[in-house]
Amino acid sequence: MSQVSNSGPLRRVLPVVEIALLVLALPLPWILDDFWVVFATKMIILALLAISFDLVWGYAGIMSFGQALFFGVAGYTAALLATKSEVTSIFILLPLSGLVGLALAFVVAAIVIFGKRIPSVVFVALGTMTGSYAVERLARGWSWVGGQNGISSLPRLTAGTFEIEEGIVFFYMALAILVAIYLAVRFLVRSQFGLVLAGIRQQEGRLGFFGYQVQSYKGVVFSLAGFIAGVSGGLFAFHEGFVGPGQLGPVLSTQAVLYVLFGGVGTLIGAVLGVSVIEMISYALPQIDSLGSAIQEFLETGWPIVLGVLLLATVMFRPTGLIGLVVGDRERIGTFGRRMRGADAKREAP
Amino acid sequence: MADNPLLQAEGLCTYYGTSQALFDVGIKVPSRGGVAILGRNGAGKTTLLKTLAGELAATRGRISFDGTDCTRAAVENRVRRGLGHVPQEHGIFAGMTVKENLLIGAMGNRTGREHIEEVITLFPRLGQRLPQKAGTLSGGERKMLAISRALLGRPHLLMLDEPTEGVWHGVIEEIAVRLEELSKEMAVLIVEQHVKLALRVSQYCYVMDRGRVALAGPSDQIRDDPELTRLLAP
Repeated sequence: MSQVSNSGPLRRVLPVVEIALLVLALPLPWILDDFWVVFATKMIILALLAISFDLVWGYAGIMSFGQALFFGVAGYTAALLATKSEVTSIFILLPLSGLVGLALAFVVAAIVIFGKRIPSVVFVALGTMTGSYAVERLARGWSWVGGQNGISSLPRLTAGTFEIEEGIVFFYMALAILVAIYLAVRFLVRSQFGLVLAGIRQQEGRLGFFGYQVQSYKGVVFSLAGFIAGVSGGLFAFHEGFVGPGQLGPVLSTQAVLYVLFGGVGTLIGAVLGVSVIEMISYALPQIDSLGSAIQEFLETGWPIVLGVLLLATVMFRPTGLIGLVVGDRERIGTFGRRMRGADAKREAP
Repeated sequence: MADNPLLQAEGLCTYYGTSQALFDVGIKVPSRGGVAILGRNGAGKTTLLKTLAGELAATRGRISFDGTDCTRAAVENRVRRGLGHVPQEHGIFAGMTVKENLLIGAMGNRTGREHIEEVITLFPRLGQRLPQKAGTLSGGERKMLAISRALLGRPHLLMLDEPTEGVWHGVIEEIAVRLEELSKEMAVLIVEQHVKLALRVSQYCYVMDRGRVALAGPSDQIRDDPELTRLLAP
C-alpha cells in the first residue's frame, strides 16, 4: 500500500520572497537617483505584462505569444485618446486600457481557444503570435496611428489637476497597481477557480466529465490576463511618453515569455523576479568596461542572442526558473480552495 | 427491463475516422440497478461508453437520457443532467492531492461540496489519504478516487469502464461491495472483464461482439447461457 509521501510541515518560502521583494522595492526612490527610479518604474510596469503571461501559461496552460498585442493596443488606445481628444485622466485611461486589453483578449480567445475541440498548445501559440505580428504590421503602415514612428510626446497622466511625472510619484503609483493586481491574481489562482485552472493545465479533456465548461474558464482567465496586459500597456505608454509598433509585436510577446520562464513559471513572483533580473542584466552588462570594447559593442546589439542562450540553459537545466532555487515544488504547486471542515480537517491533522 | 428507462440508446453507430466501431447498438438502463456490458477486447464496450458519455460522437442513432434527447449534447451538459463516467484510465489529477481531486469533482456540481463527507464514508481509506498526492495512490485507491469523484457530481447514472482493471484482488471485493450498494440507490452501467463481478453487480446484461450487441438478458439467465462462454472465449 502506498504511503503518504508528502506529509510533514510545508516550508513557506514564497511569502518570504514576496515580502522581501516588496520591502526592497519600497525605499528605492529614496536611495536611487532619478535615472534608476525611472528604470525601476519601467520594470514594475513590465512585471505586470509578465504576470499576465504567467497567469495564462503558468496557471491555465495556455501558451500565448500575443500578450504584447493586448499591451500595445491598450497603449495605442490610451495614447490616441490623450493626443486626439486630450483625455489625460488616469481614472479614465487606466481602466480603459484594461478594458481594451480584456475585450481584445476575449476576441482572440474566441478565435483560437473556443471551439468544440481542445486547441493544441502549438495552435494557440502560433495563433496569438500571428495576431500580434499582424497588428504590429498594421500599425507600422497606418499613418493615423503614427506608422513606423508611433505616437510620441504623450502628455502626462493627470489625477484631477495633479500631473503624474515620471519619478517618485509614478514609481509608487505603478508599485501600488502592481501590488494590487498581484494580490488579486494570487487570490484567484489559490482559490477554487485556481483549482479548476490547475485541472485544465493537467488534463483539460477530463474536466468536462465533472460538468465544467472548460472553454468558459479559459476565456475568463485569458481575458483577465488581457486586462492586466492592457493596464500595463497603458501605464507603459505614459511612462515612456511614447507608443510604437514594437510594443505590439512578437518581440515583446516573446520577451514576456522569457521573463516568466527565467524567473519561474506558475509562481507570479517568478515573473516579477524574471523581469527585474533580465532588465538589470540587459542594461548593466554592456556598461561593464572591463569586458572590453568589442564585447561591449556586441552586447549592445547582440544582447538578445545572449538572452536566448541564457534562457535555453534555464529551460534545459533549471525549468523551475530562478525561483526554483529557493521554493520547492510542493509550494510552487500550492493548495487550493477553502479548507474542508469537521471530520476531514481532523483526518488531515498530523 | 423497465418501460421508461433512464438511458436509452437506439441504433448507435460510431466511427474512428473511417473505421466503424459500433453497428446499430441499442441498450436500455433503468433508473435503479446495475447493467453490465461484457465482451472480448475490441468488442466495442469502451467505445459504447465513450459514445454514451459524449466523448465520441455517434454518427447515427439516438441517445435519450431522463426522457431528453442528448445525442448531440456536449460532455459537460450530459454530466450536468446526471450522467457520471469513470473512464478506464480513471483520469485522476496525479499532481493534485486526493482532497483537491475530490474538490474539483464536487465543484462541478454546486451542491457537491457537502457530499464529500458522504463519499469518503463509502471508501474510508480515501479519507486517510486526503493530503496525499493522487499520483502516489495504489491502483485500487485510484479507482476508488475516480468513482468517488464521479459520485460527487450526484449522477443519476454512473458508468464505469473496467473499475477493477489493474486492481489487487483484495481491493476488488471492496469495490464490488460498494458498487452493489450503489446499484440499489441509482443506475450503474458497468463495463467489466471480470465476468463474475459484473454479473454479481448487475441485474441485466448485454454481451457485445464486433461492435454489435450479440446477447442480452437478465444477468442470472445470461450467467448460465452457453452462448456467453462462446462470446467471451479468447
